[in-house]
Amino acid sequence: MPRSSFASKSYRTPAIVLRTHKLGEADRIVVLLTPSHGQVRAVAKGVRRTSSRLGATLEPFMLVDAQLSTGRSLHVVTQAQIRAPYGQRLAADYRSYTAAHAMAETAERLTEDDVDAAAQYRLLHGAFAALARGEQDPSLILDSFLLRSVATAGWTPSFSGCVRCGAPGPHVAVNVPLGGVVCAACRPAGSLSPAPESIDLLDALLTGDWARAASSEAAARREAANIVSGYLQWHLERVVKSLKHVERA
Amino acid sequence: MYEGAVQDLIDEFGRLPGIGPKSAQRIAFHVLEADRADMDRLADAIRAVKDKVKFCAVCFNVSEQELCNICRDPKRDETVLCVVEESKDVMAVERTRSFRGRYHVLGGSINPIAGIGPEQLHIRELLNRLHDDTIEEVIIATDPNLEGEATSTYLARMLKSLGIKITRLASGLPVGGDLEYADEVTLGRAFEGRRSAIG
Ligand SMILES: [Zn+2]
Ligand SMILES: [Zn+2]
Repeated sequence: MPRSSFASKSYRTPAIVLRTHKLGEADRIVVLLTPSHGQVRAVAKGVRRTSSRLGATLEPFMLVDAQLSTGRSLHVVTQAQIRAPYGQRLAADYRSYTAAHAMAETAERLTEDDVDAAAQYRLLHGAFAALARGEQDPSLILDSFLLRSVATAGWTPSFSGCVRCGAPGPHVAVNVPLGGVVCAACRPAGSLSPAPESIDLLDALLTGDWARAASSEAAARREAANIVSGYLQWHLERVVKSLKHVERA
Repeated sequence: MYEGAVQDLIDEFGRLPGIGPKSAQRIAFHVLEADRADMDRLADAIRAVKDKVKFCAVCFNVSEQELCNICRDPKRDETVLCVVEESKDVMAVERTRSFRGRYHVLGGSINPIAGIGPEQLHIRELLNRLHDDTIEEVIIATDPNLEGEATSTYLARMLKSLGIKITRLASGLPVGGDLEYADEVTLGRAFEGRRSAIG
């Protein structure tokens, strides 16, 4: 092994655990989202054994302070402390748990390449914190997160002005590939005509207007969720597996 | 890349859980250099397990017959059911000698990011088993990690309306760990101290 040619470096970073995989007898691979090192895949050794104290820290959706050392392909987690035990709270509420999966999978996909991970990290942190507080419908938090994370990745939708010509709304048609509402003059074939309440909810979710979002009815939430999921899948190209398991009210 | 058969073997080993490309290569060369008789025995064992071993039609534990040993044993207490993720967890609980009831093996835990929701597990079959009044208590013994906890949350909520006693193993188990690594004493104690799973 030409081990000497590779100098391992150690670094410390806050991180959100996006997912974990079992590795070998007792290890795990953890996929972390960090603000300044982007997405990091690291090995956590021995964490499935009873004697490990790292195991409880490196559970999915935990916000941690991690000490890592670099490796050729995988990094190694040498230490970690919990900053916020979001995971525990999310596992106690099934709807929040499934919403968190869809968020983590989306964040993982949107940070596969070198991107502005800091912005995605802040969004995901905010969304997990909101889920853990339990003050809003988990589906609304999820849809708001999805819209804003896709926007952060560079595909900003609009649910007020026409996405083609910018004519101020409200407009009644939504075109998913174009990314939002279109005016009567711009409206291409295949555009949707959702209820005005659904478009209003989408705008509230995108702009973070929680008072307006919380006042929406179930039908609008369902219709908006379908549009959000269509928009997400359009840009990610591959299916987000967790979405079909999300439990909605 | 190696020639045909050797590379095929490396590829096959590389698809096994926990085996990286280097280990796959090491094992493949071990097979190549090992005694013919030893490797025939290995090949026979793999074939036999695929031919003979199935999953119990009632509890989904591994079994060589339609029903597993535990489901066939009339001395087991049929009023208590222990729900675990995998067959190896049945073995872990059996080692504690703290439990004399029967089992239900889910086949994993709810993990949407890995594509596993309730429909991918043997949850419908669990509900079917609870339809008559035989079972009085369901002990949820999923792994003490996040996916196991969430699966327990889901099951407790679903079973609440059936009027059966639903319990969860007591804390003291290593959080983040696998049930199968808990020692017998700790796991035994977790059974003794189980608490209601309905909050
Ligand atoms: Zn227009
Ligand atoms: Zn059985």
